Amino acid sequence: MKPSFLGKIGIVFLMLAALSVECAYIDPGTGSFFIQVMIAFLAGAAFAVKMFWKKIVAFFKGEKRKKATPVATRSVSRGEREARSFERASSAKHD
Amino acid sequence: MTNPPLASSFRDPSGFLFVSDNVLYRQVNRVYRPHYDRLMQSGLYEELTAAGRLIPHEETDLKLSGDASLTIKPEPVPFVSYPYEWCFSQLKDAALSTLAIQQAAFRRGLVLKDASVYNIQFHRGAPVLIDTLSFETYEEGRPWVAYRQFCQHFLAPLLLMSRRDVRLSQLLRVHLDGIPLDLASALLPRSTWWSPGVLSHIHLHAKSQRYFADKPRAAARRLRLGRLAFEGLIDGLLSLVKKLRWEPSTRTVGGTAWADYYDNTSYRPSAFAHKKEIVDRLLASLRPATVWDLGANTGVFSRIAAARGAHVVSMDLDPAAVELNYAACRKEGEKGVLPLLLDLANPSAASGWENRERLSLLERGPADTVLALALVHHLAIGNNVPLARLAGFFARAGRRLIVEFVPKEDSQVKRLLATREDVFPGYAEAEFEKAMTGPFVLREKIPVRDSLRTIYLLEKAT
Repeated sequence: MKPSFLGKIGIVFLMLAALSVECAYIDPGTGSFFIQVMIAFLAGAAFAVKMFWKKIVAFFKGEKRKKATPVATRSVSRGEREARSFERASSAKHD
Repeated sequence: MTNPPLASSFRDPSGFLFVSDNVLYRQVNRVYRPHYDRLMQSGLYEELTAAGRLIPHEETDLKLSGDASLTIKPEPVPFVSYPYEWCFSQLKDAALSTLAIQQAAFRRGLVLKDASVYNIQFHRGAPVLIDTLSFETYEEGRPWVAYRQFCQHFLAPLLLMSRRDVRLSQLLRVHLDGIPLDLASALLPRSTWWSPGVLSHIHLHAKSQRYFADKPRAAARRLRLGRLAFEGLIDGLLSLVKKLRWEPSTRTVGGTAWADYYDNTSYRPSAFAHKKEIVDRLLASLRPATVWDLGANTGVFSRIAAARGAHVVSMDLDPAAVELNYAACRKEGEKGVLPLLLDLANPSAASGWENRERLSLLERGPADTVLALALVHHLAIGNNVPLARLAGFFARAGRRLIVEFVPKEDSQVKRLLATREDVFPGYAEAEFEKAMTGPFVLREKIPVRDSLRTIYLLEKAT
């Protein structure tokens, strides 16, 4: 049976994928690949927690600022809003 | 006419470096072109060059031949240095920069396909990636191809320097593809097994390499790594490297005698001030483009030369002095000084394939002007080098020489001679002048005020 057009694309894609693994001009090392995947599994989980935590911290920090400087967002033009958020960001840097 | 690739540029089939009419070019081969286009079109090139992390280049219309798709002209780096010539913080900054580049690339759908320490050069005071062809399009699921290389080229030497002995950076002289991880694992203290980062990236990594050494590669090809795991891996490496420290102190093994030299120095502040004045005046009149400051200590005179517009390679054999020199340059934003760890009694040799991959020190010269201040007695008495051989070395290193002669009556020389027999009857001013005026012509001779020392300006006889 002849493969369909999409099937052909799939085959080419698979060939390219396999080829690109072969293409690495430095030896990535089987043992290095293996340990990397093991480490990255744990590191990825830790990274997800870290990012989540950062978001929580940012959320609370953002909340506090909003309360401190109430902004009537509806009457503020986009340019002014951007300028304010820039000020907020730059003042955060000096915290 | 085709130009042959540089002797060090043969591993990567993506392209190579060549020199034409004294200008350095990089050929981009057809096979690599899609990745190059992605680098340029994704905004990554702009981002990295603006941040000073990637060497800028221009595309040229140089005639193409063979596999070539494009020829680019990278901004020239005035002096190529190698990781075994860097202090701890230079290697650490290079590692952090490599990881930051990888993160930036990942955000734009690319990855580093290699993480060779030789792809980083210090340019305008900061580590810069000089291999424009190091990027490739990220393929979802594929682990980081350069992980092993990063561990061997950066992580292992940094850990050995930080946790064992700073002098272990010299292992990189022998192991040009980075320190083998089983060796790093054996040399690191047992206590490092308790650090999750060192345990996984070095100790278990070494064991894994050993286990898989005779297994077929097909096993690795099925391994997949998700985006989040990939980012986690790089983030983990980044926090591990960031935490590593090495503090130069007289108590540290390796952080030795010279770091506090200027504080303990025997000669008076007025003599030191006059010496600075003399050197500054001579450099102001010579206006050299390149200076090699030999035995630079913490780089006081190197910075004087840089202030006069020179690119200065500031060499010393003491890791602590180089560390302090680099720290001062970073703090002051000094971009014209490159501090390097070099022992003039045994300067970096030519190494690698055909002895032509990594150049010796002298092959990277000569400099316009050589500074040799408070150095001659260390080489002549400390290393028994005859004065004529010293003059010969200076003549190979540079066209002009600003050299200081420190006589036997000086307390620094007395200190050197205190622990050994004086077998140097020829170490005297007249003999020194005679030796130096072999390859050089004497232009100026200036006694340093309130001291027994003399500074000479010499120029190579043509």
